[in-house]
Amino acid sequence: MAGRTGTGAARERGVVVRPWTSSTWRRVATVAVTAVCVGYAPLAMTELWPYARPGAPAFGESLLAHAVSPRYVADALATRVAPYRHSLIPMIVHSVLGGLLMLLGPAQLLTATRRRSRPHRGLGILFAVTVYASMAGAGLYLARTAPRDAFSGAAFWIVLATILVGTVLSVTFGILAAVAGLPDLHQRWMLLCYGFLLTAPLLRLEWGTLPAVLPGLPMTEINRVALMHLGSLVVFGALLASRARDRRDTVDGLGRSWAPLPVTATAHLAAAAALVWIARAFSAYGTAGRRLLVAYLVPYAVAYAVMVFGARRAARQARPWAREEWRIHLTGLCLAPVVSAGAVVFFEHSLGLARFTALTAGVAIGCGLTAFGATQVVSLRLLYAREVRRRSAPAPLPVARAATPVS
Amino acid sequence: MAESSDPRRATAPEPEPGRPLSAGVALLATAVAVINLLVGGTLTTVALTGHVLGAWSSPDPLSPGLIGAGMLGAAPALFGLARTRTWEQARTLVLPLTVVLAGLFAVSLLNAGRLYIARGGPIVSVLFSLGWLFVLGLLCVGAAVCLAGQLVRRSGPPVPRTAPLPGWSKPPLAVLGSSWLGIGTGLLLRPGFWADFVPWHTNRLDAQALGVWALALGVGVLGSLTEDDLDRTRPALQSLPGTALAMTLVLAARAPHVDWSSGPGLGLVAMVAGLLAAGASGRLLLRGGAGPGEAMRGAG
Repeated sequence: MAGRTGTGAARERGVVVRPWTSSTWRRVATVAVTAVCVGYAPLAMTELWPYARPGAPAFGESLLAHAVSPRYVADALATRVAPYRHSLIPMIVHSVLGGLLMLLGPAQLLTATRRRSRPHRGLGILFAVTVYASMAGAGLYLARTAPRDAFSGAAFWIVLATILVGTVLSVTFGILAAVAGLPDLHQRWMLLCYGFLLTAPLLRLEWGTLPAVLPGLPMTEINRVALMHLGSLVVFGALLASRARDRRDTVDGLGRSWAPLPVTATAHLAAAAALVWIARAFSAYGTAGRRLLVAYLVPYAVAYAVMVFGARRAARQARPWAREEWRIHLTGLCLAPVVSAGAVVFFEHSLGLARFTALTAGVAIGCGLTAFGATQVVSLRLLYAREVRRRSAPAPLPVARAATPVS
Repeated sequence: MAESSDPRRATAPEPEPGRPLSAGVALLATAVAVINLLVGGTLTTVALTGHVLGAWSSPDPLSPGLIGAGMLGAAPALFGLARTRTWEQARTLVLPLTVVLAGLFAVSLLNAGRLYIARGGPIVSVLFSLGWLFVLGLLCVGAAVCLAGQLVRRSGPPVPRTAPLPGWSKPPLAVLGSSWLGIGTGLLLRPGFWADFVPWHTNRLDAQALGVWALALGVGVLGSLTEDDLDRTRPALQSLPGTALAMTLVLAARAPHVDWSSGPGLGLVAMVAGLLAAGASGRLLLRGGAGPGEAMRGAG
């Protein structure tokens, strides 16, 4: 794993200390995420009790009612009761285990940063089993609920399904990477998996805080606004965490960049065209459309700016691996609107969704899909470097091995 | 990195025999192995429960189940493939892999109007068929790039055959390979006629996809026969038991839907049993006969 040089050692090497990866920022981020997770865990576990037994205490709902208004919560509940009723047990399993995951995540991060490998492995097995079981419950709910019957419509169903597949695949790749002895890949996939899991508390947070910015909207509408940037925020957070934990300047066997100028230039052009298309499509829906467009574009612009800045700074500091990872994710971000546009067309024609629903769904899943793809490319890049290293070494001859200390 | 290895090359006696396996092909094998494990595992599990999951609608879960079983069975051998050092050791498995990738992609494209994307259907199946096409397309492009990179690599002196196949194994292998190759080609090129030789209900797409797999199995077995070296055919031999076992599992679970008493049914049993026997005997021979050979390679 990457050596953890302190800021003092970094200054000795003459390397400019990166602001958001200095210990203070990392500690603040870790504490904030841990606080959100631990605070959300009891809310998650008790969220569905009122559906099973009317009158049971519902902390999450009362919190939300206090934060916004009782009418806001009551309207939302009215539309959710029916679909939950025929999948109550799977959903209860999903939400209780999800609350457990909120506690396991920070615990795993702690054991990982403190290099306690036995607790990390033990808790890791529990984490993996819990993820699979929780996602199985969610999968049963999705399989039994027609997309249009889901809370807030088919777009939300599609986003949930995409997050489910992303979570299951990320945890599986993380496990495979751990088994294969590839800690850098393991970290990235597990951070991405946890990012997808964090969409749950993040969404509830937005349910509570967005009405302050957009008063008077029902929860279904607030949900749609939140969907526009839910995926992009969590995968961006996972990327920042991955970059913070990987201090390597370069990787042996890296070779030429897989995101050279022609590739990134083409991606930028495609992104521009797709963004124009999306903007025009949303503008046809008046205020609601423009609201969703802004909710999509602002976080996208922030993520873009950070990635460009990160890549440029890594290039200035002559850190090829950091630059390569930033560039790959930047290319992915540029391709996100293109994938979204394609998804919109696909949802309209192959699934027969209404235009507005297709648009919302397609735009919501774009960033998550391409970030997943970018993490795949980064993993392949690291695996390729390992293969090149393996195959550039000569065949294991006893004589040769004694004579070659690799510098 | 290149600089640090040059002084070693200057002092090393001679280049390694054979064409070194490129990093690209090793990576391709690992990537396909992971995908096979996930997708093959999903397809097999769903087929065992009696449901149909695939990129197109099938009349019987057996066909997608067998495709999944083939993918799952080949995964361990593909993981092992990434560790081989020369192209000669890898090609008996890489060539069937290329046949499967290119064949399944071509069959899916040629019958694009019958896929769930075009026809519509349950949302999970539509999304699966989209993913199927996308991943297959990516893998085909990747395979083309990696193979091109592999084939332009310079080759060292030719690799000697250290463990030729025993004489008694060659006729049965020839029969096994030809039967799989034959039925595969027939199903692929004239599914309307040859699908009757499949002892369960299939439609055109099923027949062609199964034909691709049968063709790949035949290419693998006949390729091993041509290589005539147990060491070189190690990856292919490793894939045979896994594939045969996975296929047996799916066939056993759906046994009531297969017409076992017909000629094709008996032929299927013989062909799957042949795969198992070839894989098992190959392993025994490798373990027994190649012992001294491996010791020699390790020492020098």
